[in-house]
Amino acid sequence: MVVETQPPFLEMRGITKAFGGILANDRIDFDVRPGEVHALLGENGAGKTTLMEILYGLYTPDAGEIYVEGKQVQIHSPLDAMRLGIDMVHQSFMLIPVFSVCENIVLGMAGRHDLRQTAEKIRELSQSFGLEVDPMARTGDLPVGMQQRVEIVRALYRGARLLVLDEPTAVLTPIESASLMRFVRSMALEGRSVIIITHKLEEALEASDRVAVLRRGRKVATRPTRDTDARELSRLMVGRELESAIGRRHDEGRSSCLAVEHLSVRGEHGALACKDVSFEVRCGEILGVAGVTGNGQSVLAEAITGLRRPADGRVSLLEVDVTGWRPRALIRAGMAHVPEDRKATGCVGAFNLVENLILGRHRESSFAQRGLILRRRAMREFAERTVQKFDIRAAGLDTATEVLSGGNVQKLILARELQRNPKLLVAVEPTRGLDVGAIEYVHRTILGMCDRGVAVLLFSSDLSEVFSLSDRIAVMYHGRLLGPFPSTEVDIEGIGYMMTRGIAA
Amino acid sequence: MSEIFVIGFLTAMIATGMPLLFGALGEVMAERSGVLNLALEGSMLAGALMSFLVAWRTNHLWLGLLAGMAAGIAVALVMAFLCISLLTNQVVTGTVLNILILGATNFVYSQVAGTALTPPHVSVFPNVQVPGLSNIRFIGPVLFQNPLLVYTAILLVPASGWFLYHTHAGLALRATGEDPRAVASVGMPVLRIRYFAVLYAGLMAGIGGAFLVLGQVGFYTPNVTAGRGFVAIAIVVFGRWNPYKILGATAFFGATEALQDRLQALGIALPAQLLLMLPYLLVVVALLVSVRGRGEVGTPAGPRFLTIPYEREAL
Ligand SMILES: Nc1ncnc2c1ncn2[C@@H]1O[C@H](COP(=O)(O)OP(=O)(O)O)[C@@H](O)[C@H]1O
Ligand SMILES: [Mg+2]
Repeated sequence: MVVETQPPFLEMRGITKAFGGILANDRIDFDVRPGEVHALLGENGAGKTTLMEILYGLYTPDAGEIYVEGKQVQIHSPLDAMRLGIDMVHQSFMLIPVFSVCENIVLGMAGRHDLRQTAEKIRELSQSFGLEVDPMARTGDLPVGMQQRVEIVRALYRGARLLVLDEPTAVLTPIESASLMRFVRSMALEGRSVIIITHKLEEALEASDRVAVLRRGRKVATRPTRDTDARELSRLMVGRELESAIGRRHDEGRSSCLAVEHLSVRGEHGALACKDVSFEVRCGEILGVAGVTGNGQSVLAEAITGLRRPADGRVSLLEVDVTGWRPRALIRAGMAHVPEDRKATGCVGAFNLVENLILGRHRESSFAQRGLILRRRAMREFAERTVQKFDIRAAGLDTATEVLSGGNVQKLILARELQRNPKLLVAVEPTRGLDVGAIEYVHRTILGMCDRGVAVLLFSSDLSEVFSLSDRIAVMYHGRLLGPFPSTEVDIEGIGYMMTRGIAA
Repeated sequence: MSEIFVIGFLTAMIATGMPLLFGALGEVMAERSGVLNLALEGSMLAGALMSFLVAWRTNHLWLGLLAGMAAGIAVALVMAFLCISLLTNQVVTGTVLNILILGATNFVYSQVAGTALTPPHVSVFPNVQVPGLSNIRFIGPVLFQNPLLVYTAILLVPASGWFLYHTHAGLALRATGEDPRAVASVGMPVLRIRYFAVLYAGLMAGIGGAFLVLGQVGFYTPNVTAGRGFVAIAIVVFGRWNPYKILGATAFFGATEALQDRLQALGIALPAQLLLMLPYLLVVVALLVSVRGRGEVGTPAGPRFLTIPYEREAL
């Protein structure tokens, strides 16, 4: 496949980049050969995206050199990168939702483009790579997997010889991921190169020719994929051995904690996004709800946690009818919520750790005199204890939460929710975007709660997460709930099939 | 209703609508690039004063117009520098600039012309008859016997539409207001696009201001714009950031203003102040009814990144 002696297509030498006090990239050497699939592996915050944004001309490095086909190049803007045949699909898509696919693809390209001709070209190109897209569709109406295709087709259209994919599978279903990997291989077979950024070990092992591992801004190793394994990579990535898979005990016959009956909820556009959903979660049980993003999970979660008023149906918590209750009342009744978008709704980004840790409890007598004046000292002591107990890594208690890494924000939110001694935890995508170390931590915390009799309702589009944690599994498809099924009676393929077809295989 | 009355009404509608149309066609570009250019009012007022002063002193209407354009651009340049380069809050910056310009124009006018016994006067832009069309009954006098600037403004509507929807630059402009990060990621200069758009808005507001004095009355009074810049901004919203709809919205607002004048002249028993409020009241109503439905811009409130500064290398 890849001739080992071939000169590299791309070489980066001694790349260094600091943001304020943080060294995001520290003297990184990195190279990619023609026709190679190179995985860039590392925990969140390791500096993977930064390195690639430098290559793509969005960030200017503080030091370091870049060579393309042996010649030193200066990349000042994405335009320079594209001229060199380097293109990138960003983690958050760089598409204009109100534009048509076609408009998004020609955006920024020099010269005149007849939209009809362009559309034809796009159709041909996308078909030849097995990435069919409708050039006339409104981009914002497409599911995320499709939008990613648009980005890839755009890169191909511009003639990319090296394609960088930043965490491409984070938004995909297992079936979509598999088809993406097939595309990546076919691109490499044509002699073009692909860099896949990922924090998932299996992915790095499965798709690549070589793996480079970053840790805290440094490159710790590059390995030919066939000479390494998950164990070594995870050690390189985290810097220590991880505990092996977490086991689940099954506990039947407990009392009901959350009961949802015939619940229908309207979504953003007024249409029913969640239709006639009924299920029950018992104390000490984890119910996992799988589904492709956008099938009504978030609306269902919002209705249960009081952020959205149901159109019809009933929600009861510990046998009390709580339909339409406000979040504050629900919290008092024993509900805890780890929301989907942790940066937007989970905490206040500009607040420091102390403030975020007591958010929602700021009227309790331990933190406020007569519910009005905050007890600063008590707040700090409480925050200090919590930060220690949950191993939240931050420069100090006064650090603004928005500068923390995703894993630490998630720990903070979990810590806050746990301190309330809830009876029910509703967790929505609790580990999306987190690295293995943080995922392990979140999973252990959730299982620990469960052992103490807390009922957990877990929404996740990560099937392996759903399977490793849940006692029972349900699937959301087009607003309807399939199941729940005991997790011993279904397998990943079956659930994956239901997620995309809405029927059992 | 007599034909004279209707023709008079429609002519007045076009005359009052012109400054609004110029302002709105400029503002729509700024907003499409993601900058809420509240300083449009200031640009218009500065344009009105400078065009008047230069026309008065040089006795040259076209030189006056050029001065008005320059003044409009100058105000916009300050706005652009503060909001685009220094990332200040657009609403606050625009508001403060407008207050500043109001004070400055009052001061300059009183220094230059305030001592004169009778306020200085200039002639106004002459009407140009469109050969063959100006004599058509009814339509001729309304549409084809106007100053050149009126034809320019009306032709600018399809030109703006063509630019926005049929050129690459228009695509880039629209994209910048929807998501500047996406624009930067395909290698286009977000800041330069925004600068151009805001300066263009200033230019157009300058022309609108010049038309206000040189196209209609021929003399300047302090605060002659009286919020027309803001009305133009409201027209952009009402017209859903689309030049053709903006033309419609302008006609609507021009009509209410013309109607209000006429009602007053007919001696309708309503307090004059109440009638004067009418166009502004309609602005509020218009904003209320216009925020429905899925449009060509990202949110009901406009392009998705309207008012949000863009910073390179920011998270
Ligand atoms: N624009 C930025 N401003 C400030 N800090 C940043 C910026 N981009 C990244 N960082 C910091 O640099 C480090 C590396 O981030 P990143 O490259 O995004 O990591 P990865 O992609 O491996 O998760 C992190 O600590 C992050 O907080
Ligand atoms: Mg990243």
